[in-house]
Amino acid sequence: MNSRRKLVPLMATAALTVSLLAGCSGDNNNAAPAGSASPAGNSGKAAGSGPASIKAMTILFGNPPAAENNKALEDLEKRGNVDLDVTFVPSEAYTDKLSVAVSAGNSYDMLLMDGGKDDRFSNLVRMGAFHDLTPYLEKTQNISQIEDTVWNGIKVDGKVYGIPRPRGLYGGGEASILIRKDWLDKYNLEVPKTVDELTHALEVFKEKDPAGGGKTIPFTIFAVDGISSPGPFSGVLPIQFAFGIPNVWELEDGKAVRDFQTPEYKAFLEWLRDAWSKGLIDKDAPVLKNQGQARSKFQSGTAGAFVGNVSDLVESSVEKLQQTDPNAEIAIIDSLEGTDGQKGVAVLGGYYGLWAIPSSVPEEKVQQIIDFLDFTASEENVAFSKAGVTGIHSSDFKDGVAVQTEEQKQQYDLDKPSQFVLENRVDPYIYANSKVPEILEVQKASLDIISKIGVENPFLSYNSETASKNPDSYKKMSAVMTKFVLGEGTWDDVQKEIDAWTNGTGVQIAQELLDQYNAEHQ
Amino acid sequence: MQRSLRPKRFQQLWPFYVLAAPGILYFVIFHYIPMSGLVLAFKEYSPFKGIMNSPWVGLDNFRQFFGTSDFYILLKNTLLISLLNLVIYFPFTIFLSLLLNELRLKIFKRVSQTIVYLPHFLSWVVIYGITISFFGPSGVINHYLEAWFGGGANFLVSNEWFRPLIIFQSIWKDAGWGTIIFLAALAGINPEQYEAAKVDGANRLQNIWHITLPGIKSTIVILLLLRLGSSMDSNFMQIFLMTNSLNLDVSNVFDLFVYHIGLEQFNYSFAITVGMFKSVASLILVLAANYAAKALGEEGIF
Repeated sequence: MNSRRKLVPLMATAALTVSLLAGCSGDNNNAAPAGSASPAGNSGKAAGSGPASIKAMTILFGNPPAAENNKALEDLEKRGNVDLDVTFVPSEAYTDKLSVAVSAGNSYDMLLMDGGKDDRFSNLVRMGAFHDLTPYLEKTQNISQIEDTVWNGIKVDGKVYGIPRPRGLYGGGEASILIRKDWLDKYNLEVPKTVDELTHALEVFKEKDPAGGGKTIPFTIFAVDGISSPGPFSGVLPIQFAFGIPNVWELEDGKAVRDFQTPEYKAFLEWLRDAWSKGLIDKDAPVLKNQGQARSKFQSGTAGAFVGNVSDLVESSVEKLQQTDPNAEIAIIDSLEGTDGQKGVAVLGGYYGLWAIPSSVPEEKVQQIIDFLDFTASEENVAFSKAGVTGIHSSDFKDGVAVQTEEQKQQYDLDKPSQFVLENRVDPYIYANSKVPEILEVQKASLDIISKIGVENPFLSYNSETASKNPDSYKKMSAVMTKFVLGEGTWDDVQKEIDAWTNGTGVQIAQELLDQYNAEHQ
Repeated sequence: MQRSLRPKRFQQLWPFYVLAAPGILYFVIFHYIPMSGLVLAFKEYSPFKGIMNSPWVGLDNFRQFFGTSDFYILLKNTLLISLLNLVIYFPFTIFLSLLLNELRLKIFKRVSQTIVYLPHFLSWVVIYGITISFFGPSGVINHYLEAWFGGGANFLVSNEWFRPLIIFQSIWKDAGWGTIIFLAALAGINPEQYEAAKVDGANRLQNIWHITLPGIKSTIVILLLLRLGSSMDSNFMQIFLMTNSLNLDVSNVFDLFVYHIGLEQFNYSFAITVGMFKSVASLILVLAANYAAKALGEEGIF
């Protein structure tokens, strides 16, 4: 009698403990439908019977779409035969949320790996986090149009573990310099074509102070975190290429050379140091944390130039600028030339983010998810992402531009149809997104120009284990480079850090990358 | 004899057990079961293999952690910030409580109390924004420094100013909030003591020194002990926002390290190792301080 009384609560606690542990461990076999918070029922059934319920997590820049009574979402769900539940996570919090979502294992059907194929992604794949999607891709109509270079860039051990969201191969965020056209006009300056002309224009901005009250910031850039990449500042790529600096790595006589190991990099840092001492660069640059902060300085009308991409030409950003200065105009410097005519734009992976399906998702559901992604990448959804539902978000869609009344425009901004088109269609002009035909032309022309001057990184698709195990290895280098630019340190300090890297971890990193390269290029 | 008594006692006491059950369950579920996660410090954890199936690696994680050249820098930075908080921020809250306590006009006292509490409710992001606009390279203070002295100071982008700014931020944001417990303790001092002292001719400062401070001495000791217990923690949000490549030498603390290694690189085991080291170190600190407090005749926390 006594012992039984004791035993019952004990067993209950034990049972509780076991079930909790099972819940934490993210067990592959039994987790998905039972434990998931999404409306279950559909997920277990065979494909084709009723709408598939898909829970996705994605990154969000700006405001989220309307959560309730969203006509765009309803329309897409109906046409795609899905029950879609998208969690939009603000970009600032995305890394943390992703980490939690990945370790929880069974909470999402698909996750956007925003870093693409980086060390984290490769590590997770090797841990067995995601489904191998290679066998599912053959049947797709739209996804399969993505170029082979992009596919090759994202494969891990020859297999596809994430569907890339195609973007232009050239310049997602830092391709071209945007500059205040009205300021240039005011002082009879041409749109700069070379580094010297740009420096001159910035000097004039500094001297004449067009923003007034000494507020003019000729050129706004931002700090690097020094954790994933070295260097004093981000937002300087066009200038780096004008100095002839390689895109992260270059191959010279079968040897791997990192950008900061080249003599050109020194010349570039000296230009920065000189520009800093003349007050051409935003004083706040070392404390700015991302491109968004630099962009907001440009859009608020105090900065003369910053590095962005053609979508910064779009009418909404001009409108913002014109709130402080009604005469504001923006020009884009598509390609900036150095003294010997060097110029360039980084050739990137050609995608932003990978859609990965956690291995906790049952196999029969994977096909449904791929089918849905393929559907959102279809021609009809290109129109949908730009014009929404006809009659609600627009009245017509002509030549790639939505015809909208003011009211429809508001509804479009509220419902944000494009946010639900999770996989976009292959489109080299994806960043040309203006609704004003003239601006659209300029954007397309600019994209055409930069597509001819791409600089490739031979090791873009490879990963170095040494680099991923030493995430802090570039911190010191960034610090001394920044100090050099700010005039607080000498070149010897920088050279010492570069030498330390060249003779230390750099040896292994270069060798690991070179090995992968050689294995593929025999 | 004893054995036959037990069921009877249980029959008498069962309502109390039921009452206590939710609390006990809470501790078991949310505090003791998660502790089993500490085994991950000795494993190479992969969330997809599960806790059970991840391979054992013994003390490798600890060896790696103590072996990095960063370890001593992290330890030094973390402890220094805590120490500065202890010797500057903490006495400041006491000082502020005494000031508030000495206010005689009721309304003025209430209003000032509310005003000093308010910054506590701002998020660190907002505080960081305010800090930039005041101390930033193109901030207000630098603007005047340049206008008057012809040169600014690198408040946010140098090693020297990082710690003073962190302490200043803490005081600005939380000193008012920190006075709450002291004010409650001050309210418990018997007013007759003051009246008696007045009769003996004590002035205000003598009142503070001989009555008020001894009256809250035990509160001060307890709060000090609790603070010691968290001296391996830093205020993550605050440090995370204030750090940049130019002050990394002094701003890199354990919490930041755990964030970069554990969350950003998905290296959970290593992060737990660091966390476990922090907890054990804190426990030792608290036990030692508690022992010291008792040796000095104070009550301590246990």
